[in-house]
Amino acid sequence: MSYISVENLNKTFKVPQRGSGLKDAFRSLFKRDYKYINAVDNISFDIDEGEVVAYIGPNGAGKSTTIKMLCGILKPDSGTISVNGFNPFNDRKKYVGNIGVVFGQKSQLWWDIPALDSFQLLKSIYKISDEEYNNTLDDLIKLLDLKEFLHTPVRQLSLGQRMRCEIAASLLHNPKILFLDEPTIGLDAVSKVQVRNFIKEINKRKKVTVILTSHDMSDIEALTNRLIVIGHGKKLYDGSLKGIKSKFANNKKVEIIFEKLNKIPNIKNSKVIEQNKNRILLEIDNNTSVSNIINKYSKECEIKDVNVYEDNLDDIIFKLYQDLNL
Amino acid sequence: MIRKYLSIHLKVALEYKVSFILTILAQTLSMFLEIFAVEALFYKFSLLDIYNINQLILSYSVVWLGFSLSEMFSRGFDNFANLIINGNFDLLLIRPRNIFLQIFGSDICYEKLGRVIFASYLVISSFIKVVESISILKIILLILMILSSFILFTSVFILCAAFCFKTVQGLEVINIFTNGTRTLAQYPMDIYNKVIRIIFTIVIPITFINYYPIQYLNNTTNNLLYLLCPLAIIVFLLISVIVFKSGIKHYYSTGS
Amino acid sequence: MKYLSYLKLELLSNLQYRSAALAGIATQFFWGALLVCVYTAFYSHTSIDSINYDQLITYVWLNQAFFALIYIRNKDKDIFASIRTGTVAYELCRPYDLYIWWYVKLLSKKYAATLLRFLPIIVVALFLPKPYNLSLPISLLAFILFLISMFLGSLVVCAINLIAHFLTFFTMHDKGIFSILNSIAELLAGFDLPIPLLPTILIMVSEYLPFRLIGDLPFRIYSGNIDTLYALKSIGLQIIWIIVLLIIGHLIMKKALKKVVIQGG
Repeated sequence: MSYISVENLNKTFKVPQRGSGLKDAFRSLFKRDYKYINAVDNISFDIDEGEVVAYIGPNGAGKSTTIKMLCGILKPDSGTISVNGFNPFNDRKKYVGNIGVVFGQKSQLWWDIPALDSFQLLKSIYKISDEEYNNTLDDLIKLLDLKEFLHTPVRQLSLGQRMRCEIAASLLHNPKILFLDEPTIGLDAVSKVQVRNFIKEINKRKKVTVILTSHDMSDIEALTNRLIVIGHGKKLYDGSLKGIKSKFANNKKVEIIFEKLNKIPNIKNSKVIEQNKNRILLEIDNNTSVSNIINKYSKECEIKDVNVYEDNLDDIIFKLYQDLNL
Repeated sequence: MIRKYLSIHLKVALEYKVSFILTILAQTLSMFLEIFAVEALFYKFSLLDIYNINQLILSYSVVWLGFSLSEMFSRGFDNFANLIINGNFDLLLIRPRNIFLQIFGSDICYEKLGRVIFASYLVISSFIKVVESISILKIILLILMILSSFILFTSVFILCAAFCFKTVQGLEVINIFTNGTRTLAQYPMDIYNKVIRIIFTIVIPITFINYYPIQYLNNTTNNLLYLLCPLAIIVFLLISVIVFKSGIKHYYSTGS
Repeated sequence: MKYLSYLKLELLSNLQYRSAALAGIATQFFWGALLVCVYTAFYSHTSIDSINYDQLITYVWLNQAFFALIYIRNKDKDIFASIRTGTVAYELCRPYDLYIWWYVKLLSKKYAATLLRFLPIIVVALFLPKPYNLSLPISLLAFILFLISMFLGSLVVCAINLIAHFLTFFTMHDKGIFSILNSIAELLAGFDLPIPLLPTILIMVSEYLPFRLIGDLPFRIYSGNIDTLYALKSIGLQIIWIIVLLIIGHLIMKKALKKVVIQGG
């Protein structure tokens, strides 16, 4: 059996409905209309130990509902979740010692005092022994490069530094699974790259299974090979990054700029879209290699410049949502 | 863990020392003014001939001491709406420790220290004057009174906090419940009419923390049953804990 | 007029906060009921000369109904932020007098909040069983004088409010001082106890300060606790105080702004 296995998971919320007018507001005092929303609709997946999985979907797709159920703080309506043999909800108290959670928009650090003080509180909350605490903390300080600002009140830290402290805080008790909910939200480009590297490092060194949600596609491209896409509570895609690209990406476009072209070479799976005096735009199949094309063209002309246009993950996901009318 | 919580909140408070001290002063002043209003009313209505001033002080200062201890240590429940609104309650749920303990620890308001000290002073000084002779039993009763006052207000906070699982809108209304209880409880119960007295005996058992025990302290009665009065509060505590727990259950299935 | 259109805007945007208004009404109503209980208990033992039971109950209900109008501990986040961060420098470039603008802002907010709240409390309190109800004004004249002094009272409280906002600039982050001053002002405005119930010495002190002119005066005019002559005199006093407070506020603002502009925020 897999490390994490989710089977036919369902969760429905009852949402009160209210009109906007004063009359409706008054009426809703006495009688409420409800709408039922299938936040998670029959979702199943398996995750192996040590995997990094991105869990993505548009706002309101059911991401955080799933994460909450995986963390054991929300009770599923039906379906089973098993994580390392635990049922997260029923065995909550025993189970949560095995997980670490970072919510990008919530903080587990005390705002006005140094992060180190928060760490010490977490030490006693998780009943971590002195030895284990010291070892883990030393490790994390080195790994996340926390040394300089460990004694600075959190409110004075930059967002990137704070996020590193948050990650450290959720790893103090050596969890086997790490949930990251939008860990790079609001960070600048440099901090984003740093945080990604740390996550990779932790996954590699500590064999921590990482489940990540993010709206930032570059996060996902940098961190994981596997993604699960959900929308309207349903699982839409589960597989590799490459897979989703070949399934949903547009064909690549190659633009070649030259002095003078003798003749257009004949290449399989390629199509000329535009052509003028010293520029040509080709559409090629995703499996055709660009170097092959350049090779053939270089025989016919002196190439001055080549540009390749390829759908990035953002475009692909956007197309995926569009196709499914999300 | 409790020690860690106590020290971490003290560190936070001491981050802004001047502001911390001024807030303590402001808090104490506002308490003083409320007590002042009570005394002014008794004075204005010339009721101090009928009511023994020391009993009056003992009665409301026990209420205030319990209230400010609750404000200080049960702040997490008092401010529970915030915990829900900013989602930090989820963070507590993913920790492998007792949830009540964690909510207590989530906020400790040292700014109420001035109130606690001032109220303690009033309690002790008026106690000495009310009891003609101090006995071990009377001291135990006093401690029970303070404890039960603390438990009572904490229970009220817990009950109000449980309400936040249903909705976090228009919560000012709930403040009436806490502050209203305190305001009414400042006055000796026998100035009120029967209806209010019954409410404060059965619904919110205030009379058990000051009115009845004081009867024993001032030798009005020798019945030892009066010693056990403060224990009636336990029932109230149990009810509020049960309500809160069912609130958590609701939260587990709705997530909001 | 631009200031009036601002008031209208504030009213409309305040309508968005219906649930806050509803909660406010409920809170005020329960507090009123609570105070009625307490005072009824006291009057059932004995009565006093300075104010009779009916007048006091009426005082309590008016106090609750117009609470949003007379509330002293009022903080306007925008004004605070603009003084503290120095963006006030930009506001000085706008085509209006900043002092009047802020004054109208505070006033508009108060009226918007009050208009949404006062009527239900008044109506319910009027129809409560005797003797726990809000009485009708003692005479038409008293009612007119009440309206005038209530309006002037709102001008007084906003002037005090504005001064308090500027003062925080000098004390910066110390909410404590703000709170201490407010507590004292509230005591002398009759918030803790109606002025006639305060000890004689405090009544005397309150005479020399503007705080009792905010709510205490109009409420007592309404119930006939204050006679017409004294009411007229006090209304005159209100006008004088408004002018004095506005001038003081203007001076303090100038001083505060000088500091902000020099510091560059």
